Amino acid sequence: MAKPTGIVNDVSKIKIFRLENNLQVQFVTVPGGKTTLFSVGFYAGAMYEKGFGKGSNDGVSHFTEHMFFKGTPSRDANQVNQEFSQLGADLNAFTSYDHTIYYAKVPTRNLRKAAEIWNDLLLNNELKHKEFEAEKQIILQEIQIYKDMPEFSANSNVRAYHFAGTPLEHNILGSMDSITAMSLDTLKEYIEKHYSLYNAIITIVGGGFDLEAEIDFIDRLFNENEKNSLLKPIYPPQVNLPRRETNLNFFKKEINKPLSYLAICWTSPGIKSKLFFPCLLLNTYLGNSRTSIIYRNIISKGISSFCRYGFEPFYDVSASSILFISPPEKLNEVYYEILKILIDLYSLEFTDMIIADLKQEILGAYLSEIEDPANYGIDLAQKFIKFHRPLLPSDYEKSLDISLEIVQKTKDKIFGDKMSLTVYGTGKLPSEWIPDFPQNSPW
Amino acid sequence: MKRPIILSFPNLRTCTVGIVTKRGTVQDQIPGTTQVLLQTITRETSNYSEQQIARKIDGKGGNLFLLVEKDFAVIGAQVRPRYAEDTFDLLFDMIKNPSLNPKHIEIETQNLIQVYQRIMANALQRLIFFEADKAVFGEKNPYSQSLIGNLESLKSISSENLHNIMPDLLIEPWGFAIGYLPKEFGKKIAEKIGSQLAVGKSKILIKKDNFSKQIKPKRLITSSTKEDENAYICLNLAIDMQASKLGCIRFSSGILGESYGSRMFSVLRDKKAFGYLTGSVIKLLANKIILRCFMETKPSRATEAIESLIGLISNLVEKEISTTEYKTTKNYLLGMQDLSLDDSRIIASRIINRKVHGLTPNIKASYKEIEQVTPKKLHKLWKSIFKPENLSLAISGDINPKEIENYWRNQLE
Repeated sequence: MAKPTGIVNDVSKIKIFRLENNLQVQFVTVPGGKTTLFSVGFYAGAMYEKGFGKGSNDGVSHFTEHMFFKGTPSRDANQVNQEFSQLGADLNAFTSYDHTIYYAKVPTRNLRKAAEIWNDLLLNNELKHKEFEAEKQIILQEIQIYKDMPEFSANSNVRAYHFAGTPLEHNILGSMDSITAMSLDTLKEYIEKHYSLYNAIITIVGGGFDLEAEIDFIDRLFNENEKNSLLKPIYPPQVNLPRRETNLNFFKKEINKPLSYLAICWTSPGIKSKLFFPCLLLNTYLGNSRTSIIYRNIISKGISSFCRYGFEPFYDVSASSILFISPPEKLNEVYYEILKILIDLYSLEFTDMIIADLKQEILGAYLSEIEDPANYGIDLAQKFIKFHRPLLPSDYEKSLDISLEIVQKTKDKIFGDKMSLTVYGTGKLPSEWIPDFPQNSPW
Repeated sequence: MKRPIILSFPNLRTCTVGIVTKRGTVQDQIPGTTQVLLQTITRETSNYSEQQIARKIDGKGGNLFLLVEKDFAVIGAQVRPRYAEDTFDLLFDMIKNPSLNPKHIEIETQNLIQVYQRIMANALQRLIFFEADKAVFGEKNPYSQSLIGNLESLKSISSENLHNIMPDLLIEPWGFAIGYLPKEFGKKIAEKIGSQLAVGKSKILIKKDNFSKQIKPKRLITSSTKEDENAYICLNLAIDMQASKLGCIRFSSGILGESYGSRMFSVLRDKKAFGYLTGSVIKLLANKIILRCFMETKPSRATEAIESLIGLISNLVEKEISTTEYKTTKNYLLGMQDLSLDDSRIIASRIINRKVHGLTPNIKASYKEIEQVTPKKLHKLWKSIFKPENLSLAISGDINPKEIENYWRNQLE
């Protein structure tokens, strides 16, 4: 029986193994827990798709994710669903720009069975034409649902607009045209190129299992299929996301709705940058909670009823975005207020006390967020893929020990770039939306 | 005063504390008043400014939440256990000493108007938040009123309205602390909640039966706009609340739409490819158990989709479910019970819902309800409840209301 080749990391209750076939597995045990998350994360996502137009495979990552639920020679799609239901599993998968994660959260007594089914689905998947065509209709309908959500369109379009010409321009779902034109061969080609268990990460988080026994089990399970093509070595593709020195981009679409949707996007430091963690502090200062400056100056004052601050980290750069929803007559006010916040932030002198408060808030919120093993496991898997290494809560805490100087440097870097705007709804003409910035402002 | 509910889960990292009030939106003379009141009292109290409240909860990584329902309202927070006691004091201060600052009332009212407009702009949200209950209760029933009122009602809410209903929050409120609570700590917070809420007075706010009697069955609600790309369907089956029936209805929801192994998913989504969304949920409201099946499809396939959905439901009457399907569903539902015990706020919501609707407020009881269901009991119940008077349909999106109305009438006949 094969044994794990060694423990890579054995701190903070996490154990990480590289098995004989090079597959990496991370385990976290939750004391007192009775449920467990099993997930497999791949370096596959919309970022790795080809461009647009002829030969485009826009949306293929997401389509592939759907097809991995469609069965193997030993179980068809319906059996897969029935078996997972038997296990009392919360079953799902999602596709992002730089990763795709498949998972099932189960009562721990069913962990092994869930792992067995996922092993079969991922390694012995059958891509059948009939199911491919049926799923195509479902995905086209999924795209249509998002068309009924202007907030989604405004947010995804501002990112596509800001990162035009880079892989972040892709819509994860693809377009009606690209999905309609997609062939089964396109999916096969994509899987061949981007799916490999060699650099995938299996994450198991939960309570009520014997760690050593489960490690042995996973080792045996994933070493059984030694000749499978998914076990060939593929290294994570390198995708460069250049910092774009754009002008103040503006895009506006008139829609017949009572509210208007304003989305703003800018480029922030990527994971490889030393300024990445300070950027997280700035996000919290700006961000979503009731202590944030956006809440205090915009939501609390009733200028907009809705704000979502988004931050998607990638290796080279990160994408920051804010979405506001407000009545058309208040959009002007929202826009000026957010500009004022960003300009004020640039000149604001942070103190050690502000930084300590922000750190406390980030860590507290993070600990609450990872209370459920499903959230914790998915978070660990995402961090493993994005950081190319495990990132534990304790590492996270250390990374937030940040000096005042580095916070200032981060602000200089962020505000050295331009931003993009999208408005969905009725409102004023674009030229009226771009104000004369003060001389000292970064814009 | 009712005894607080204190439940400890050693696997959790947070504690959810809060106060449940008997004031719900069905008591609103002006629809939306309870919602505006609850939103406003979280802004500022006589003792704490808005910024102090934010620092005490969000600033410590916690999360303040409101659950404003038709039958009750909850003001709560999910926090790290060390802050639970302080947080409870703050929540209590919100219902005891709110400042009800006119500026905040104005802002919260305006915010809710925007929320209303946002929901109206999306056919799926319109269906869930506004139309589905109208279909069950009939347009004039207070239970059909949305949780946030409507444009006209929100615009007419005054500061005086809020001051008038404010005392209702102190009528027999009860408190809870659920999550990671070491023994001594649990005892301490139980005493704290008990002594704070002892101020509550007793009074019957509303008789739910009065509303239940107003229910007019066979309702069809259509909400059509050409801007929508899809048709969204919600089929309701509503029966009188009985704890003994709840397990069977939960089971039915499991069979019909809750998992990827359910009939709706395998037939409507996978085989017939009607659309991306399918599902079912159970809602307890006004002494009713409502089983709600929802889906989306292309407008051109709306009637075909409704027909297939009704076909799936009526199969439950025609034939007892197989042993395999019974076992699968039972395992699925029991597994879901296990899975829902990993977040203090989710556990709190479940417990509150049970208690408010007169069910035993503990986790074991909900396991028992499922375990007691047999294929025979299920079949017997379905034969007695699958009747036109228990069914209602709500549909929104790019649809032809007349065509749907004709179709629905024929179906019921």
